[in-house]
Amino acid sequence: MQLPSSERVILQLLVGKGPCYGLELVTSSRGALKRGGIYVTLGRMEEKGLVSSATGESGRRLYKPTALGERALAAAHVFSGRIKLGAKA
Amino acid sequence: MSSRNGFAGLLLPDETSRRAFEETLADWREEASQATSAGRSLRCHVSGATATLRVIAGIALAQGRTATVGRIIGRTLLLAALTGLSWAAIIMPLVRDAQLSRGIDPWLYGLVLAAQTTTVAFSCFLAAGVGLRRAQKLPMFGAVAFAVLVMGLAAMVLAPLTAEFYRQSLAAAQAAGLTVPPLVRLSFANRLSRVAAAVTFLVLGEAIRRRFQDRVHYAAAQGLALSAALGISLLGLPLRLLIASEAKGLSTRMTWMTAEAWFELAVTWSLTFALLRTRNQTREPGTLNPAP
Repeated sequence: MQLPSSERVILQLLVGKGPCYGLELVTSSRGALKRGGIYVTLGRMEEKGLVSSATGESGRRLYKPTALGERALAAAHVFSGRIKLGAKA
Repeated sequence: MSSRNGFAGLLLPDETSRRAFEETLADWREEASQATSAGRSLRCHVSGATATLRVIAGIALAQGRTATVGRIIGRTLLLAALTGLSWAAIIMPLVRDAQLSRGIDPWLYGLVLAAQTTTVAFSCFLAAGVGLRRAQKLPMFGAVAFAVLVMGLAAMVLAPLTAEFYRQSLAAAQAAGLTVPPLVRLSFANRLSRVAAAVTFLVLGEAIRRRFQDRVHYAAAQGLALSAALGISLLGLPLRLLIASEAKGLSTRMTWMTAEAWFELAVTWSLTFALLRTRNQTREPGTLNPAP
């Protein structure tokens, strides 16, 4: 599965920080994610089964990675590592 | 009224788009409520509005890439162009001599007539939902973006044609005192009203089809939407004919024509909102909730 950079950033943040709200992800990404696109990306990722969401205490949607999302992130790390190794060789 | 119905449901028919839109608005509200100073509040509103516009643009872009929008716009444009050309072919022989005697090139008249009719027909066929299947919801933002693009391009093609037509009409009528700037302004207002008509008819047509598709055959619902759009387009025709015979200057005539176009838009929006407000008249048995 090919992981676009925005989806990869979201998965990295969700795996690293735990469940987050959309706006939290934007703030934590330090400019890598934009407010206008975050929910469209999260919706797409939910359709793919990479993240799941539930309504949190504040009434807002709280997002967390699924097992598939975590595996996709791990695979993306391995893949990019191989590319870097290939470039060095 | 739930967000699935009403205006929001009409504009954002799919769950993903609606949720993205609603969450962005909720972020905007949350940030604005937490702002401690006027400057910070202003910044929140600016970034909230920008984010909302970006969401709309993103949804329009995603929907615009779908085959559904391509099919709707392609078929609507083809039908509209055929209508425009046919209408010009019918009318041209009837008015050819009259235009020649006024010193207007009949071919130019024919071209302007075909192009004008195409733009009106395009709006009406958009209302009918040509290329859309039963129970298929219109990807509204994508269709609106393409409709505006098509009408904008049509306006660019029409602008030099109509300018030349007005120049010849002016020369024929020897209308003194009408300078170029008001003519350009009036022409621009007229084109803008046609672009707005395309968008409003698109929304009106979807509202009519959704309202009636469960009660009548889908083709009948499409016919009803087309009839409503045609009816509204022709609403001001008697008034226009009266003005054409009474008003002396082209400027006065064009001002009235533009006012008439905006009046038609007001009627369209009123009808759309009336349809959406009365959408769920049937209630779920045993409850006060609207039927699903």
